[in-house]
Amino acid sequence: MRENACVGCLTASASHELQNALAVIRESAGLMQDLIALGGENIPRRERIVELLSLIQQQVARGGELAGGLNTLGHAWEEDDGDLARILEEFVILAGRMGRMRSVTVGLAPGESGLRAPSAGLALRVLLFDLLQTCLEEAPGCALTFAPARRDGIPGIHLRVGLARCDATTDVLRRLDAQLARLGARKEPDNGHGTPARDEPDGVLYYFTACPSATGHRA
Amino acid sequence: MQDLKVLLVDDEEEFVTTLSERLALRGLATRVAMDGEQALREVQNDPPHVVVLDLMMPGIKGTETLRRIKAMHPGVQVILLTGHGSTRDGIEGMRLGAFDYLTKPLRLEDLLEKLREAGALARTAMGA
Repeated sequence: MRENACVGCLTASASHELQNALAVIRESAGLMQDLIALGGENIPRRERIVELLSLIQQQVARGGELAGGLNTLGHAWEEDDGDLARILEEFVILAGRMGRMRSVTVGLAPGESGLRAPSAGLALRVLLFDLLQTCLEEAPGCALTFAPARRDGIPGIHLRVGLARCDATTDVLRRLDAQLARLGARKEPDNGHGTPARDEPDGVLYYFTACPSATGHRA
Repeated sequence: MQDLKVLLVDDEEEFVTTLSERLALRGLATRVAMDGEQALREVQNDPPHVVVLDLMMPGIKGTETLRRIKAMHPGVQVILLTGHGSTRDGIEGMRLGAFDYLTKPLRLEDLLEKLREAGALARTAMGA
Protein backbone atom coordinates (compact mmCIF):
# COMPACT_ATOMS: atom_id res chain seq x y z
CA MET A 1 0.00 0.00 0.00
CA ARG A 2 2.84 2.39 0.88
CA GLU A 3 4.51 1.63 -2.47
CA ASN A 4 1.23 2.27 -4.30
CA ALA A 5 0.81 5.57 -2.47
CA CYS A 6 4.38 6.59 -3.29
CA VAL A 7 4.13 5.90 -7.03
CA GLY A 8 0.57 7.19 -7.18
CA CYS A 9 1.18 10.49 -5.40
CA LEU A 10 4.36 11.25 -7.35
CA THR A 11 2.68 10.39 -10.66
CA ALA A 12 -0.36 12.53 -9.81
CA SER A 13 1.82 15.42 -8.67
CA ALA A 14 4.14 15.37 -11.70
CA SER A 15 1.32 14.91 -14.21
CA HIS A 16 -0.49 17.87 -12.63
CA GLU A 17 2.61 19.98 -13.22
CA LEU A 18 2.81 18.63 -16.76
CA GLN A 19 -0.77 19.77 -17.31
CA ASN A 20 0.17 23.20 -15.98
CA ALA A 21 3.08 23.42 -18.43
CA LEU A 22 0.79 22.36 -21.28
CA ALA A 23 -1.79 24.92 -20.19
CA VAL A 24 0.81 27.69 -20.43
CA ILE A 25 1.85 26.53 -23.91
CA ARG A 26 -1.77 26.24 -24.99
CA GLU A 27 -2.75 29.71 -23.79
CA SER A 28 0.43 31.29 -25.18
CA ALA A 29 -0.21 29.76 -28.60
CA GLY A 30 -3.84 30.82 -28.31
CA LEU A 31 -2.84 34.38 -27.50
CA MET A 32 -0.49 34.43 -30.50
CA GLN A 33 -3.40 33.24 -32.67
CA ASP A 34 -5.54 36.05 -31.25
CA LEU A 35 -2.85 38.66 -31.91
CA ILE A 36 -2.27 37.41 -35.46
CA ALA A 37 -6.00 37.59 -36.11
CA LEU A 38 -5.95 41.20 -34.90
CA GLY A 39 -2.84 41.98 -36.99
CA GLY A 40 -4.63 41.45 -40.27
CA GLU A 41 -3.21 40.08 -43.52
CA ASN A 42 0.04 42.05 -43.55
CA ILE A 43 2.00 39.81 -41.18
CA PRO A 44 4.84 38.14 -43.14
CA ARG A 45 4.34 34.39 -43.70
CA ARG A 46 1.07 34.63 -41.80
CA GLU A 47 -0.39 31.38 -43.12
CA ARG A 48 2.66 29.36 -42.10
CA ILE A 49 2.62 30.89 -38.61
CA VAL A 50 -1.09 30.10 -38.24
CA GLU A 51 -0.43 26.53 -39.40
CA LEU A 52 2.38 26.06 -36.87
CA LEU A 53 0.31 27.48 -34.03
CA SER A 54 -2.44 25.07 -34.94
CA LEU A 55 0.10 22.22 -34.85
CA ILE A 56 1.19 23.34 -31.37
CA GLN A 57 -2.44 23.26 -30.21
CA GLN A 58 -2.91 19.75 -31.61
CA GLN A 59 0.20 18.47 -29.87
CA VAL A 60 -0.79 20.14 -26.61
CA ALA A 61 -4.13 18.35 -26.85
CA ARG A 62 -2.26 15.07 -27.41
CA GLY A 63 0.00 15.73 -24.43
CA GLY A 64 -3.00 16.79 -22.38
CA GLU A 65 -4.73 13.46 -23.00
CA LEU A 66 -1.65 11.57 -21.88
CA ALA A 67 -1.09 13.78 -18.84
CA GLY A 68 -4.77 13.44 -17.94
CA GLY A 69 -4.54 9.66 -18.18
CA LEU A 70 -1.39 9.65 -16.06
CA ASN A 71 -3.03 11.89 -13.48
CA THR A 72 -6.00 9.56 -13.17
CA LEU A 73 -3.65 6.58 -12.97
CA GLY A 74 -1.82 8.39 -10.17
CA HIS A 75 -5.06 8.58 -8.22
CA ALA A 76 -6.04 4.96 -8.95
CA TRP A 77 -4.57 3.52 -5.75
CA GLU A 78 -7.05 5.57 -3.66
CA GLU A 79 -10.12 4.80 -5.82
CA ASP A 80 -12.94 2.75 -4.34
CA ASP A 81 -14.78 2.40 -7.61
CA GLY A 82 -14.84 4.16 -10.94
CA ASP A 83 -16.56 4.74 -14.25
CA LEU A 84 -15.51 1.68 -16.25
CA ALA A 85 -15.76 3.39 -19.66
CA ARG A 86 -13.54 6.26 -18.50
CA ILE A 87 -10.97 3.88 -17.01
CA LEU A 88 -10.83 1.90 -20.27
CA GLU A 89 -10.53 5.08 -22.31
CA GLU A 90 -7.58 6.27 -20.23
CA PHE A 91 -5.94 2.87 -20.36
CA VAL A 92 -6.18 2.85 -24.15
CA ILE A 93 -4.56 6.31 -24.31
CA LEU A 94 -1.72 5.29 -22.01
CA ALA A 95 -1.16 1.91 -23.68
CA GLY A 96 -1.17 3.14 -27.27
CA ARG A 97 2.59 3.29 -27.64
CA MET A 98 3.14 -0.10 -25.97
CA GLY A 99 0.86 -1.55 -28.61
CA ARG A 100 2.49 0.23 -31.53
CA MET A 101 5.89 -1.18 -30.52
CA ARG A 102 4.48 -4.65 -31.32
CA SER A 103 2.32 -3.48 -34.26
CA VAL A 104 -0.78 -3.96 -32.12
CA THR A 105 -3.58 -1.41 -32.33
CA VAL A 106 -5.31 -0.77 -29.03
CA GLY A 107 -8.79 0.70 -29.28
CA LEU A 108 -12.00 1.28 -27.42
CA ALA A 109 -15.57 0.36 -28.30
CA PRO A 110 -18.56 2.08 -26.66
CA GLY A 111 -19.99 -1.02 -24.96
CA GLU A 112 -22.46 -0.72 -22.14
CA SER A 113 -22.69 2.77 -20.68
CA GLY A 114 -22.92 3.74 -17.03
CA LEU A 115 -21.10 0.72 -15.63
CA ARG A 116 -19.10 1.18 -12.44
CA ALA A 117 -16.02 -0.91 -11.75
CA PRO A 118 -16.59 -2.24 -8.22
CA SER A 119 -12.92 -2.57 -7.49
CA ALA A 120 -9.75 -1.12 -6.14
CA GLY A 121 -8.49 0.98 -9.05
CA LEU A 122 -5.03 -0.51 -9.29
CA ALA A 123 -6.28 -4.10 -9.42
CA LEU A 124 -8.34 -3.22 -12.49
CA ARG A 125 -5.38 -1.51 -14.18
CA VAL A 126 -3.20 -4.53 -13.46
CA LEU A 127 -5.79 -6.79 -15.08
CA LEU A 128 -5.94 -4.56 -18.17
CA PHE A 129 -2.16 -4.48 -18.34
CA ASP A 130 -1.98 -8.30 -18.09
CA LEU A 131 -4.58 -8.72 -20.84
CA LEU A 132 -2.65 -6.35 -23.09
CA GLN A 133 0.72 -7.89 -22.31
CA THR A 134 -0.61 -11.37 -23.08
CA CYS A 135 -1.89 -10.27 -26.47
CA LEU A 136 1.35 -8.40 -27.27
CA GLU A 137 3.39 -11.52 -26.52
CA GLU A 138 1.14 -14.14 -28.07
CA ALA A 139 -0.34 -12.28 -31.02
CA PRO A 140 1.84 -9.37 -32.21
CA GLY A 141 0.12 -7.47 -35.02
CA CYS A 142 -3.36 -8.08 -33.66
CA ALA A 143 -6.08 -5.44 -33.22
CA LEU A 144 -7.36 -5.18 -29.66
CA THR A 145 -10.55 -3.45 -28.67
CA PHE A 146 -11.71 -3.02 -25.10
CA ALA A 147 -15.31 -2.30 -24.12
CA PRO A 148 -17.24 -2.10 -20.87
CA ALA A 149 -19.71 -4.98 -20.63
CA ARG A 150 -21.81 -6.93 -18.18
CA ARG A 151 -22.49 -10.65 -18.01
CA ASP A 152 -24.99 -12.12 -15.53
CA GLY A 153 -25.10 -8.74 -13.83
CA ILE A 154 -21.33 -8.65 -13.28
CA PRO A 155 -19.44 -5.69 -14.78
CA GLY A 156 -16.34 -6.50 -16.71
CA ILE A 157 -14.31 -6.07 -19.85
CA HIS A 158 -15.21 -7.27 -23.30
CA LEU A 159 -12.11 -7.87 -25.37
CA ARG A 160 -12.10 -8.19 -29.15
CA VAL A 161 -8.95 -9.67 -30.68
CA GLY A 162 -8.71 -9.21 -34.47
CA LEU A 163 -6.10 -11.52 -36.00
CA ALA A 164 -6.26 -10.48 -39.67
CA ARG A 165 -2.80 -8.85 -39.58
CA CYS A 166 -1.20 -11.57 -37.43
CA ASP A 167 0.76 -14.54 -38.63
CA ALA A 168 -1.21 -16.63 -36.20
CA THR A 169 -1.38 -20.42 -36.26
CA THR A 170 -3.71 -22.76 -34.43
CA ASP A 171 -0.93 -23.20 -31.83
CA VAL A 172 -0.88 -19.44 -31.29
CA LEU A 173 -4.65 -19.44 -30.78
CA ARG A 174 -4.37 -22.24 -28.23
CA ARG A 175 -1.66 -20.41 -26.28
CA LEU A 176 -3.59 -17.13 -26.40
CA ASP A 177 -6.72 -18.88 -25.08
CA ALA A 178 -4.79 -20.54 -22.30
CA GLN A 179 -2.99 -17.37 -21.22
CA LEU A 180 -6.16 -15.26 -21.28
CA ALA A 181 -8.05 -17.98 -19.38
CA ARG A 182 -5.41 -17.72 -16.63
CA LEU A 183 -6.46 -14.08 -16.29
CA GLY A 184 -10.10 -15.07 -15.95
CA ALA A 185 -11.04 -14.20 -19.54
CA ARG A 186 -13.52 -16.64 -20.99
CA LYS A 187 -14.11 -16.99 -24.68
CA GLU A 188 -17.45 -15.83 -26.05
CA PRO A 189 -19.21 -17.16 -29.15
CA ASP A 190 -20.10 -13.69 -30.42
CA ASN A 191 -19.61 -10.00 -29.73
CA GLY A 192 -22.74 -9.76 -27.61
CA HIS A 193 -24.69 -8.21 -30.48
CA GLY A 194 -25.00 -11.25 -32.73
CA THR A 195 -21.75 -11.01 -34.70
CA PRO A 196 -20.17 -14.48 -34.36
CA ALA A 197 -16.52 -15.02 -33.49
CA ARG A 198 -14.32 -16.66 -36.13
CA ASP A 199 -12.01 -18.98 -34.23
CA GLU A 200 -9.32 -19.36 -36.87
CA PRO A 201 -5.81 -17.96 -37.45
CA ASP A 202 -6.99 -14.84 -39.33
CA GLY A 203 -10.29 -14.57 -37.46
CA VAL A 204 -11.82 -12.48 -34.70
CA LEU A 205 -12.05 -13.68 -31.10
CA TYR A 206 -14.15 -12.34 -28.24
CA TYR A 207 -13.49 -12.66 -24.53
CA PHE A 208 -15.10 -11.42 -21.36
CA THR A 209 -13.45 -11.02 -17.99
CA ALA A 210 -15.08 -9.73 -14.82
CA CYS A 211 -13.69 -6.68 -13.04
CA PRO A 212 -11.60 -7.55 -10.00
CA SER A 213 -13.57 -7.22 -6.80
CA ALA A 214 -12.76 -4.65 -4.16
CA THR A 215 -10.50 -7.16 -2.40
CA GLY A 216 -8.35 -7.55 -5.48
CA HIS A 217 -9.77 -10.97 -6.40
CA ARG A 218 -11.85 -11.65 -9.43
CA ALA A 219 -15.56 -11.01 -8.85
CA MET B 1 -20.16 39.60 -21.79
CA GLN B 2 -18.75 43.10 -22.25
CA ASP B 3 -17.40 44.52 -18.99
CA LEU B 4 -18.04 41.31 -17.12
CA LYS B 5 -15.69 41.48 -14.14
CA VAL B 6 -13.67 38.28 -13.83
CA LEU B 7 -11.05 37.36 -11.25
CA LEU B 8 -8.71 34.56 -12.32
CA VAL B 9 -7.00 32.72 -9.46
CA ASP B 10 -4.15 30.32 -10.20
CA ASP B 11 -0.61 29.98 -8.85
CA GLU B 12 0.75 29.34 -12.36
CA GLU B 13 1.55 32.95 -13.21
CA GLU B 14 2.28 32.54 -16.94
CA PHE B 15 -0.95 30.61 -17.40
CA VAL B 16 -3.17 33.03 -15.56
CA THR B 17 -1.71 36.21 -17.07
CA THR B 18 -1.91 34.84 -20.62
CA LEU B 19 -5.47 33.65 -20.09
CA SER B 20 -6.33 37.04 -18.64
CA GLU B 21 -4.98 38.78 -21.75
CA ARG B 22 -6.99 36.49 -24.03
CA LEU B 23 -10.20 37.22 -22.10
CA ALA B 24 -9.44 40.94 -22.08
CA LEU B 25 -9.15 40.83 -25.89
CA ARG B 26 -12.74 39.57 -25.84
CA GLY B 27 -13.95 42.52 -23.81
CA LEU B 28 -13.90 41.07 -20.30
CA ALA B 29 -12.56 43.10 -17.38
CA THR B 30 -10.06 40.65 -15.93
CA ARG B 31 -7.83 40.67 -12.88
CA VAL B 32 -5.54 37.96 -11.57
CA ALA B 33 -4.58 36.58 -8.16
CA MET B 34 -1.88 34.01 -7.47
CA ASP B 35 -3.26 32.45 -4.28
CA GLY B 36 -6.32 32.21 -2.09
CA GLU B 37 -5.39 35.06 0.24
CA GLN B 38 -4.84 37.49 -2.62
CA ALA B 39 -8.10 36.34 -4.18
CA LEU B 40 -10.02 37.04 -0.95
CA ARG B 41 -8.53 40.55 -0.74
CA GLU B 42 -9.50 41.23 -4.36
CA VAL B 43 -13.05 40.01 -3.77
CA GLN B 44 -13.36 42.11 -0.63
CA ASN B 45 -12.03 45.29 -2.30
CA ASP B 46 -13.96 45.04 -5.55
CA PRO B 47 -16.26 42.03 -5.94
CA PRO B 48 -16.07 40.56 -9.45
CA HIS B 49 -19.05 38.92 -11.12
CA VAL B 50 -17.19 35.66 -11.54
CA VAL B 51 -14.13 34.08 -9.94
CA VAL B 52 -12.30 31.34 -11.84
CA LEU B 53 -10.56 29.44 -9.06
CA ASP B 54 -7.95 26.70 -9.32
CA LEU B 55 -8.58 24.18 -6.54
CA MET B 56 -4.99 22.97 -6.28
CA MET B 57 -2.93 25.88 -5.00
CA PRO B 58 -0.40 26.32 -2.22
CA GLY B 59 -1.69 28.13 0.89
CA ILE B 60 -5.41 28.27 1.65
CA LYS B 61 -7.19 25.30 0.12
CA GLY B 62 -9.32 26.05 -2.92
CA THR B 63 -12.47 24.78 -1.22
CA GLU B 64 -11.81 27.04 1.78
CA THR B 65 -11.26 30.03 -0.51
CA LEU B 66 -14.56 29.20 -2.22
CA ARG B 67 -16.36 28.97 1.12
CA ARG B 68 -15.03 32.37 2.24
CA ILE B 69 -15.88 34.05 -1.07
CA LYS B 70 -19.47 32.78 -0.88
CA ALA B 71 -19.69 33.89 2.78
CA MET B 72 -18.50 37.41 1.85
CA HIS B 73 -20.48 37.85 -1.36
CA PRO B 74 -23.01 35.09 -2.07
CA GLY B 75 -23.85 36.63 -5.45
CA VAL B 76 -20.31 36.22 -6.79
CA GLN B 77 -20.21 33.10 -8.95
CA VAL B 78 -17.24 30.76 -8.74
CA ILE B 79 -16.07 28.45 -11.51
CA LEU B 80 -13.60 25.86 -10.27
CA LEU B 81 -10.65 24.45 -12.16
CA THR B 82 -9.68 20.88 -11.31
CA GLY B 83 -7.11 18.41 -12.50
CA HIS B 84 -8.24 15.64 -14.82
CA GLY B 85 -8.13 13.04 -12.03
CA SER B 86 -9.75 15.27 -9.41
CA THR B 87 -13.31 15.69 -10.64
CA ARG B 88 -14.51 14.57 -7.20
CA ASP B 89 -13.11 17.85 -5.84
CA GLY B 90 -15.12 19.75 -8.44
CA ILE B 91 -18.31 17.96 -7.42
CA GLU B 92 -17.54 18.67 -3.75
CA GLY B 93 -17.00 22.34 -4.70
CA MET B 94 -20.41 22.53 -6.32
CA ARG B 95 -21.90 21.22 -3.11
CA LEU B 96 -20.23 24.18 -1.39
CA GLY B 97 -21.87 26.64 -3.77
CA ALA B 98 -19.61 26.79 -6.84
CA PHE B 99 -21.39 27.56 -10.12
CA ASP B 100 -19.61 24.76 -11.98
CA TYR B 101 -16.22 23.21 -12.54
CA LEU B 102 -13.96 22.73 -15.55
CA THR B 103 -11.05 20.33 -15.92
CA LYS B 104 -7.62 21.44 -17.02
CA PRO B 105 -6.35 21.90 -19.67
CA LEU B 106 -9.13 24.30 -20.51
CA ARG B 107 -10.76 24.93 -23.84
CA LEU B 108 -11.23 28.67 -24.12
CA GLU B 109 -14.64 28.19 -25.75
CA ASP B 110 -15.81 26.12 -22.76
CA LEU B 111 -14.60 28.75 -20.31
CA LEU B 112 -16.28 31.56 -22.26
CA GLU B 113 -19.55 29.63 -22.26
CA LYS B 114 -19.40 29.08 -18.50
CA LEU B 115 -18.43 32.73 -17.93
CA ARG B 116 -21.43 33.85 -19.97
CA GLU B 117 -23.83 31.71 -17.90
CA ALA B 118 -22.24 32.51 -14.54
CA GLY B 119 -21.98 36.20 -15.40
CA ALA B 120 -25.69 36.44 -16.18
CA LEU B 121 -26.54 34.83 -12.85
CA ALA B 122 -24.11 37.07 -10.95
CA ARG B 123 -25.45 40.27 -12.55
CA THR B 124 -28.96 39.29 -11.44
CA ALA B 125 -27.87 38.32 -7.93
CA MET B 126 -25.63 41.35 -7.45
CA GLY B 127 -27.90 43.82 -9.23
CA ALA B 128 -24.99 45.07 -11.35
